[in-house]
Amino acid sequence: MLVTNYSWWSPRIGASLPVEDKRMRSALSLCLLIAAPYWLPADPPDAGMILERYQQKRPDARQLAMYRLDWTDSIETALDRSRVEGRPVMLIVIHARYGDITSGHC
Amino acid sequence: MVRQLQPFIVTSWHGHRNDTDLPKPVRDVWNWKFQVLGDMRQSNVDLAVLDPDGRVMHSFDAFERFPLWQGESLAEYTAREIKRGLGLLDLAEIPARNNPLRLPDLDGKQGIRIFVTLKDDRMRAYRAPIVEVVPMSTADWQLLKYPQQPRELQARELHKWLSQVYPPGIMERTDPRTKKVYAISSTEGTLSLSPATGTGTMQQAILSGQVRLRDEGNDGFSYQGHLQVVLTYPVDKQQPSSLRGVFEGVYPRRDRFQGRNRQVPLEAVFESIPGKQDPLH
Repeated sequence: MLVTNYSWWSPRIGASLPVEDKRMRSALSLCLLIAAPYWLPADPPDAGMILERYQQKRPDARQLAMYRLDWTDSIETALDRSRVEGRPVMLIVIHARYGDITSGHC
Repeated sequence: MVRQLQPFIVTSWHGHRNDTDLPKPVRDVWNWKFQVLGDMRQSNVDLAVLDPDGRVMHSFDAFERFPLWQGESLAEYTAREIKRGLGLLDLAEIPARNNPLRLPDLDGKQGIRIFVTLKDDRMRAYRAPIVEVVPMSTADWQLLKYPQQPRELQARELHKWLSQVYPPGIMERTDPRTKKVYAISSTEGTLSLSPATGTGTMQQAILSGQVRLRDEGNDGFSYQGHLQVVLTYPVDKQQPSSLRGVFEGVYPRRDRFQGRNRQVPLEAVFESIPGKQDPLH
């Protein structure tokens, strides 16, 4: 059996193994090195990081400014309140069968 | 513009011209829109300033037809028209107001609030956040009870609140017959619910995984994203006392002019709404 000393290349890989075994082992090591990021289990998500992401993504007061308006659910309620409070009404009329402007989903 | 609208009571109405029960202010707005302005290019949204007696003092199309100056933005146009409307009101003094921020809630019931944003660079209006609220029952929370060991959960079990993750006003996802937006009909994916490190008095768990959403369109359309949620529990309780998290996904939009799909980031933020009656919150 041909025995070659490979210790010059990788002293930690058994220096006295048969050359085919060494080649196979080297190839395997290289493959594992390349594949490591893919097959190693991903870090479990961190609660702190998720909460930080929640804070970053949550719309701020400026983006939610529409909710600083004095909304009422219906035109009838708006007119009733308007009479009592002596205030003007801003009426948004949408020519469509469906639409929920309060949530934004339409 | 929001500052200008502070003195107003704001409301909206939607419907069609042949509806039998058109409120008088709507009839007045549409008489002007369809009979006077006629065939001019107009949008399907109008704004009207009403005085305290409910009379329409001024109305205008949400779409700007005659810019006062080149490059006038839609916001500037709207502010200009509101100012014009306010000027027509016979009110000696309109008291200044500074309304607090009041997000949609559930009148004291507990649930989940969802903010959805489509990060569309071409149509910036889509970036305005949508806010939805979904009531949660004890049984709904029970699905999210504290996991002693990691366990799997099917996204469809959380359909009630995950199904709110869709963008607004997507014309191509509307039923061509009824004009109604397709609702989300299926929520798919296997999620994991795992214990996480908590604090002395609270324990935490993480709900995460890929979620795919399909609507009623029956044409195979779907989109997906990654869900990550932190649930917090008092140490001696199984039911969560709070929920906070995010969904980060991609929504394919059909570009009618270029005839191809654009992949637009779609984000949602979730937070629990405390219930007044619930001692946990």
